[in-house]
Amino acid sequence: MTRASSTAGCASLRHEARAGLLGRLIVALACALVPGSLLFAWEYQPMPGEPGGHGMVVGDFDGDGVHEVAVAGVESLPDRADGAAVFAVLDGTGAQARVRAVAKGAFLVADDALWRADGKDGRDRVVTTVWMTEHYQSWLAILTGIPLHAERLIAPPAPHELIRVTAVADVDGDGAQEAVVILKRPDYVFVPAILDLETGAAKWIGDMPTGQVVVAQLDGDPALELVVAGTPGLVIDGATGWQDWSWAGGFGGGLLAGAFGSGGRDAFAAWAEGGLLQVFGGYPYAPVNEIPGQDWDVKRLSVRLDPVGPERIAVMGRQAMQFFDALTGNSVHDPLPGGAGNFLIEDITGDARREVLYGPSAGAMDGCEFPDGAAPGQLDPFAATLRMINLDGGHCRLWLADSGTHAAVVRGPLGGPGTDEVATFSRGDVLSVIDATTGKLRRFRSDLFETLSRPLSRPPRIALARRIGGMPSLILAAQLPMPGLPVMAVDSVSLQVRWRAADSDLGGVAAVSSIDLDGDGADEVIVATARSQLLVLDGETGERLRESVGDAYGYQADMVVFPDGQGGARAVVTADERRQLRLVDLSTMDVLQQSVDVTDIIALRQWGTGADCRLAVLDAAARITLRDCATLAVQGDLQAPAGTVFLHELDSEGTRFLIAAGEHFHELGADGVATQLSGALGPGLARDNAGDVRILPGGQGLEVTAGSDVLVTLQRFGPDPVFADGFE
Amino acid sequence: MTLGVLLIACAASVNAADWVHYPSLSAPARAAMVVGDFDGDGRHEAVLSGLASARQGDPETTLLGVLGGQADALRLRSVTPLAEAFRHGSAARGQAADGTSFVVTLSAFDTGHVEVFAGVPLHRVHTVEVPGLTRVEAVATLDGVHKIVGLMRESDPPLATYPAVIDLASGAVEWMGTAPAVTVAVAALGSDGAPKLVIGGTPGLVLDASTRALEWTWAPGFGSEIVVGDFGPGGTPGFAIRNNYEDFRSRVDIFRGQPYARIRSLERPDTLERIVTVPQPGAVGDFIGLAERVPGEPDRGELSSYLPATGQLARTLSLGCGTPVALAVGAIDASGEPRLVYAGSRGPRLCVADLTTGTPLYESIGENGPFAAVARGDVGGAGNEEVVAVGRTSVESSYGPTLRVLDGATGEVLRSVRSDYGSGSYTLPFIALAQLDADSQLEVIVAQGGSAMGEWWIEVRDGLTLQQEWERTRIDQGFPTALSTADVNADGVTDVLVLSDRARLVVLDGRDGTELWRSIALPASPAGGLASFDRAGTPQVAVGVAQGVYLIDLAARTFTANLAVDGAVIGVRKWQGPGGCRIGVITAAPRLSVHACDTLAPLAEYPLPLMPTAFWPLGNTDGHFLLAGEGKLHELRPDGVLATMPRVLGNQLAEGNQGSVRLLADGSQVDALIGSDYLVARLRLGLDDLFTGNFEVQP
Repeated sequence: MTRASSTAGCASLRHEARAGLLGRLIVALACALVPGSLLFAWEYQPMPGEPGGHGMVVGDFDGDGVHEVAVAGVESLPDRADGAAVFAVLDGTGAQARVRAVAKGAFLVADDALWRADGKDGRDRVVTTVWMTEHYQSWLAILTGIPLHAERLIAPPAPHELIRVTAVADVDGDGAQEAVVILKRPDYVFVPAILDLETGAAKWIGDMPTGQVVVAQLDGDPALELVVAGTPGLVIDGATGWQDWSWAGGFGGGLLAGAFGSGGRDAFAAWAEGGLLQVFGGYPYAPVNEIPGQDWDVKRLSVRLDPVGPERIAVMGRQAMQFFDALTGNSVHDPLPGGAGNFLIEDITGDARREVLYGPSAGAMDGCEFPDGAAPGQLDPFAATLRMINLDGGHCRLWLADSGTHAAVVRGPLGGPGTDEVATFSRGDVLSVIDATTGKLRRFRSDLFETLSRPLSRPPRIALARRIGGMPSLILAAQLPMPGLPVMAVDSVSLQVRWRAADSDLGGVAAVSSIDLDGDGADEVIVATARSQLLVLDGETGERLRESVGDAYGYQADMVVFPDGQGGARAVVTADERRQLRLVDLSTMDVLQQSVDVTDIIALRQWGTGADCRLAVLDAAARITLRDCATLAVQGDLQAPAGTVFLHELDSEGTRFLIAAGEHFHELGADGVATQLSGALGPGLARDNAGDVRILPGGQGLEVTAGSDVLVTLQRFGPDPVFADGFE
Repeated sequence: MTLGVLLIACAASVNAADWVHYPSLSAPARAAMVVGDFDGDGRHEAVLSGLASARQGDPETTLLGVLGGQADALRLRSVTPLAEAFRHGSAARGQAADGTSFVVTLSAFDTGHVEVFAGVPLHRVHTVEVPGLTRVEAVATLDGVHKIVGLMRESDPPLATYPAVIDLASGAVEWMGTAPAVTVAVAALGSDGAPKLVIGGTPGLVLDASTRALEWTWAPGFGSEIVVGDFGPGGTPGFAIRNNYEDFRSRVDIFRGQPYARIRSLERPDTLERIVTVPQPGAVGDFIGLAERVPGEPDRGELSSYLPATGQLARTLSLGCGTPVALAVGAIDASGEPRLVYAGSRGPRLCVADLTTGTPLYESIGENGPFAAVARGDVGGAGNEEVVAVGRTSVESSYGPTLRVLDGATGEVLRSVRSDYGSGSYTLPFIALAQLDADSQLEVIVAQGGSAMGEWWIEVRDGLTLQQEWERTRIDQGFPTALSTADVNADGVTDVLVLSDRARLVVLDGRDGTELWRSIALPASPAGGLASFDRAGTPQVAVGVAQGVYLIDLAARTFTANLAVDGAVIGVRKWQGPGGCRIGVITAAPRLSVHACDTLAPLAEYPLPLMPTAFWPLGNTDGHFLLAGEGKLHELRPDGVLATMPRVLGNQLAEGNQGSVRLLADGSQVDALIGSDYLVARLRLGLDDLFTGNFEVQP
């Protein structure tokens, strides 16, 4: 693709200000946009589901000298029961930690831990075990950058299977780091192994059955020692693989190594029966202490609480996190709240004070600060969060876990006249309102569909409905596994529910929209069910006013709603499982036209009124057909790139479109050439043709607000300065 | 070094018992009690059934005990384990031609397995199967041949039983009555002196025992218990019947022999338990004795003796062991006087009382074994070797186990004390001797679990007075699994080492029980072992538990070596081997291994063909051991051959690797002090040279 081709047909800006739907100004952008012409953008990065549940680790992943926290969560996808790994990077720059980037991998983290590895380019790496669905086995993953992305995915040495990474360190003392892993042999025995971190080649594979290994410097040679759980417990020299020591009593699960031994030397601890933590010193090896059990059977860390002296053992129980001197068993710090997930203790915010990060956490939220100081509305009290508190107590900060997709967005004066806000409703059943100017979270709530923090089974829909003399309503729709409340109206300021459409036969709402059908200035709500039945609901009460005939079967539908130019309105709805277009008069609910010359409709887009009314239909083959709104007759077509899910016209004739394919926005020219406009914005970008596109006045480009599986963004693109103003 | 172990099924080793002490019988006479002269010494002995009550999960041994006294005091002279359970069995005494008695047992209600025991100790002389036999009621000599008189069932289901006469030698049923019966007795009731069968039923019958000709009937019937005695006029033979009414009241009918007639009836309230024939020393005829409960006094019973002719109460004896649930009369002690032998309802206990005055002469509270916790030394400080032994618990919950000091030479009980704590169902007691103070007598250290988990008892008693010097309770979870001693704090006084159920070594100051140190918890297992020793002047202890052996420097309080072994550790022992200090370990693999004391490096290993409970080195050796296991002792020879000594010594033999074994000076005999679930024995065992060199070795 060349710039010339991408800008063919660029003409002077032609303003076609017409009275648009919802009062929106439709402006044709005649001049081409260009790559790199991003004028402004913000990205709101929600915390992924189960934040930290698949591990957390601190490192400098972008090489800027400042540490970040990588947090592994999960997004359970509608079409994949096991979900996908989502990595959030918590940026500690400044006193306020914030989510800096979230990225989704094409795999699932197969363990609950992330490990930091040194990168030769000054950027730390994250090492973990990921489940490769297509290979049906776990691989070693090395991630880098912000957002974190897979740099290398390494298969385990055949015929072994990789179970988990248990440490990353220069185990053999050769100056390069290795991954200490647990492998499964073909005879189903788990054994320890040392893998080259660059190639994944096995440097050593032990023959002792074990489920856990930790590493520590326990003697005088340069190599580290592997402490191998099992009965007997073993200490193995990391360079030679020879057994340095064995303990007949065995090392139980929950092995922990750290500099908590005598004089701050490395030591290790193992869980024993009865909730005992037994501490073993290095050479000459021997048990040195036993800390009696309490409520701490969950997680433990070796942490440095003081600038000098030994590290301490932090043990998190469900009720409390406690800190012990390993050699005396004495408590060395006031207990902190407990939990059931991972935790780490670091100076995350760079204020020289340590914070404790719980991931995930489900504790009380009272008194905690949310991102951007946003005000929480009603929240599921059991919702998972990433929690950060100061080690010395106080200052609780929370990030609510929020599974994507976040594509369902709507933009408008949600906070009242003169405001400009973006509402996004996620599969995590979280409704968030973001300032469209700054991208900061203003208010949010969860549990609208009472899913108890389980993600909705399908991507939800959102629409905005105007009301007379009041704040608009956000219309939310979701497909629930059981009959219930698939459509509701929520006050756009208070986020309180105004009404719920309670009819159980509404189950399977596929799309929602709004339009003023009776000219009273308030919108009615139009619902398309999964069986392509159209419902007209009173926007103020949710009362069903009328309905069309639907199909006997169907699993998904889409629709567009537009004025008919005669005071009424029409809708085009997909039918027959997206193999048919149906034009419906929303006043009579009569079907005016049907078209069967389409297959696998992905998205509908309508613009213009009267004779200029156009309908663009995107199908699974990425073919865009332009149709007459009244007859549905095909007037032209255009080929879009494969994977296109979103389209918005850039001129009134429908010769150029803004499209989303993959993780990027593109400009699709009349010649079918697509020019990438944006950077990677996450998979599932503008899914279901959801998003808000505004042509900026004065030829200043356009603004698109959309969401993906990992973020919500506003991107403002400028026109190509070379070709602007009548060149050609 | 690993040697294969071959098993010699029955090595004819010479062995002789120095003495055997039988601490008690649980559930005495629950199934049977008979009196007779079983050893032919002219005095009676009481043979009674009992149980060696073991810990939950351990096998329960059924015993036949012989209670009697010769020149010495009344005691359990012998206890013979039975192969089968005897809970619902029955027994009767027979009389051999030489006048000695023997006992015929039916081991259970319907097994038909009849055994004949004779002698003291009782030994099995005959076995016969009599299918359908449900009770042995008497043994009669008819025409010079021993017959079982009993009850048989004709077919399934056993709705009714019938009287029967069975040839004891062959088990052949010679006669079976046609009318159902509930009991049958044999008595010489006629002027001809011939034995008659008195058959309990309705009507009651008297038949000639030889011809089975009907001699008399009693239409109202004979009840469930018949005793024979000289109840008739002028002391002629008669019999008495106990009949129970539906409202639990009883009536005792007393009958004379030919001419048959009822001569007296005694109506009793619901207090009557048993009836017994009570001889009248120096007078003609017998009393009829009624053993009864004393209302409102559960710990006391009474035996009232009545004149059969008049029904006049002759005397009443107060019985301190409670209501007799089984009783007999016999001249079982050196006095030659008839004594009342009874199992009293308190416990129950086994008691003997003077039949005239009621004076208690013997009382034994049932104890639960095993009695493997034994040790020996100059306990009393008088220069004599004495043995200390303790069982697990008393069968009466209000009493604890009894600690006994026995004469090392004779096994005679010198001193005893009963603890006042209840011990647990699963716990194994441990015992040790040590000098913990300035007096000459040793201290006895007993470690035992209490009746509740975590309720420990570590008590130290003066060996002479048996007064408690100190005790510690609730030291750790569970209960103790091993006991040893060592001077840990170098104060010149031995300290107490105990291994807890959580496999934690706890060191208590020998002076007062103050805790000096406790180790980390090792993997817990139900058994373990401790072996303390001295290395270069510092106390060490080898701890064996679960599948590991751990060496602890007690002075530095650090683990210095450890070793994983194959199988759960059963016992650990230290001795001086040919090249220095040795630690031996027996495991449930089963295996015996020998290790160097300082490093636990393996020196020898012997797979074993049986599950051991204890082992002892026989001298300065890495390959010659005495083993206890499966109720017997075995000699593991240097060539790996295991020679089993035939004598059955009981379950849980030397359990907890307890006991004391010494190789005598000439190396051919072993002096072994061991305990099992029903005995404490000091045995001198000859090591049989015939079977060395693979003679008669079976692979």
